[in-house]
Amino acid sequence: MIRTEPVSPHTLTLVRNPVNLDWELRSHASSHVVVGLLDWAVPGTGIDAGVPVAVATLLSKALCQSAQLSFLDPASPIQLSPSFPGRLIGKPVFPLTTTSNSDTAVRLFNIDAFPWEQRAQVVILSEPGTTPVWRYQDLFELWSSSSPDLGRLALHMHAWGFAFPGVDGDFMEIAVASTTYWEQLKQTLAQMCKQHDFLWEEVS
Amino acid sequence: MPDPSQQLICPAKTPGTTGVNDQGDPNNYSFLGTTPGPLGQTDAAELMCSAPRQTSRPRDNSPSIGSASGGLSEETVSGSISILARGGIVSVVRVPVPGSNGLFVELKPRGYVPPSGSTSTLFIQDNTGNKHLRLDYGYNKTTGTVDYHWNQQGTHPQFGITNHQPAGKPGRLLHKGAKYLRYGGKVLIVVGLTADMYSVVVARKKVRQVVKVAAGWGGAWAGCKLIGAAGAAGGTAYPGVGTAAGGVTGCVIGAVAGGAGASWAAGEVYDTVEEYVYEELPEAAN
Repeated sequence: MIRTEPVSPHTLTLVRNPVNLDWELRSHASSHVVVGLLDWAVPGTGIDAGVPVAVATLLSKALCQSAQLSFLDPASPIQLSPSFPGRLIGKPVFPLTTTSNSDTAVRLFNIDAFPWEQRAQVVILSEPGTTPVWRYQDLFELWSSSSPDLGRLALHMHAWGFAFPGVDGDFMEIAVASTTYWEQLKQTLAQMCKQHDFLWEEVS
Repeated sequence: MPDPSQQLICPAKTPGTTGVNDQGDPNNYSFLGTTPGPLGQTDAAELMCSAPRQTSRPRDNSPSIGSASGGLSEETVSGSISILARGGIVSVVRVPVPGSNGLFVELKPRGYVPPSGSTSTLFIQDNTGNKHLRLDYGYNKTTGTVDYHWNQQGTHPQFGITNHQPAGKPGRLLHKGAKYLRYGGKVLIVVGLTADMYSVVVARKKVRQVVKVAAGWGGAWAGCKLIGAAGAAGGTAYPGVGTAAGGVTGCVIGAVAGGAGASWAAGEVYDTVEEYVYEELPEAAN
């Protein structure tokens, strides 16, 4: 059989320590933090914004297999509230869901109150089975700052790392404070790509 | 007897002995004067001395800038500032887009979005923000460059615009204009409210002024929604940019016009009601 069109494969690409300012990254590589930018190409998308279902499924499975995820989710009963002056100036309440279940984690890409496409979502990656340590001020800095001190925040929150939406939600920015976890995450992503028929690329 | 409408009427003095131009003059009209009375030391009678008598009560007896008989009143000046400043309401009001299944034109996103998050300045979106068309500036994954473009989810059937579609020069102008309006509009609202508070403080008829101010903001809100919706509907002939530009422009015009109209109407209604309950003293017989 002769194909008249080339078949566009599903691709997941990890760029290590990207430096171009166009990416508008929140995290910056340092001796304490490794930064990666995940990009994907899935044929047949382009009319609507948002993370394609196949990509969202793959990413949530990979992240949940390697760590425990905490993300902003109004369905959660756990809520961190700002102080009274903070409430007066409209600081948000942060509801957090913690899970290692990928079916739950996949919701993080589709939460209207904290839209992924407008970079309003944050994901905290921590050791499975541990109780995360959160303070409102830390979470607010993580959520609102264009350049949070991720090394310090990882220490405060007992976190391995963080994930953020990239520009227009078309990318995922990952900042990891543990090189061991970074290697583990890469292996998991590569493995998941194989399982989901995605082409895995890693560039630096 | 001279024509009362052309007659200058000075405030009544304490009863005098001449019987002319005082409380005892049967050929003259007078209001309560500078002597302590039910209305106090500076009551409505003060202006009557230098103005031709009106057949009904004066409608705006606020203190004047300039001469006692003319000039712009402080209330009028602050009112004019407020009328224009009400256009800033566009920064907080949601302008409906008729026939779009519940979409609104707004200058801010739905949900919680940090300042470091979205670089969009203009939004056509539903209540939750799930369905949206927003004008953005930044890296465009489709074109591979930094440009002004649309991001959309679920609004393609209405506007025929796809995600990452470049918005061109009109989009650039609209993006910048919306950015200035978003913050400038809030500043205008603060200016307007300050001017309104001042106008209430200096007004002699404070209740009347409060009614006018409240009606003015209500009218601005309604005018923004109404004329803005008409503008958005008309602008949809050029989907996206036209819809947003029509909605925003219509809102500003509607807010200024609606605010001014409602404020004026409220003043008229107040005066009419007041006149209805006001009883003029019968003319003394010779």
